[in-house]
Amino acid sequence: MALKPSKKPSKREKPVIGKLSFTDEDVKNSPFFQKQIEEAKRFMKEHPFPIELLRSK
Amino acid sequence: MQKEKYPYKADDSLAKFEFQSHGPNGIINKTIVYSEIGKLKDGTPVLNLGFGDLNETDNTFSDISVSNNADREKVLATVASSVLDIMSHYDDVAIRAVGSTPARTRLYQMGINAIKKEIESQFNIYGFKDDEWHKIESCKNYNAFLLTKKNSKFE
Repeated sequence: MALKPSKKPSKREKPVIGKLSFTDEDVKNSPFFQKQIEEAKRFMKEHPFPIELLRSK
Repeated sequence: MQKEKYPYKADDSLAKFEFQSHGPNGIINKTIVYSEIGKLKDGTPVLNLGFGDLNETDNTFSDISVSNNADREKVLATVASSVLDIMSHYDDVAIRAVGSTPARTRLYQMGINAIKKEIESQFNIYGFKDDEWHKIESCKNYNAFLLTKKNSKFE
């Protein structure tokens, strides 16, 4: 993911970072996750989040 | 977050997490995967929260089984903690969450309601209901959730 890491230091305890039992490739090849992702993309396209809601208190 | 949670491991991008659920039905490997699914109109990336069990024999994922491992709250607290990790790791990001079944979506809602006051100090929580996004209210049921940082761009 090409996201920008936060510059603000987090006060939260960090999780252990390391090699996981599964890889990106496993996720990419997983019908289970790919179906979730495709459905999520379709949902957000059909029901875009109204940005005005962010401005309302 | 004060609730008991499982220790968990993340990859270095904090996009993937894993932990083990321990209970009467043994040890179940759980995975959380965040995937970019689009952007809000202001450019904020939206990540989908994917959650499932990992079968380590062939590295496949599923959520067909109902684990019944008597640790629902602890599992929910662990997932919620991963949300806080990814929200604090990335500058500007929104998380979209929906259960794989209506019952599981309700489970997410129970988890959100349990810590609503705590998360509302840092985040905005929205729910999708009746074909629209709303600011979430405790007594209502929603079909999907979106979490954003309380954002200086708008406040």
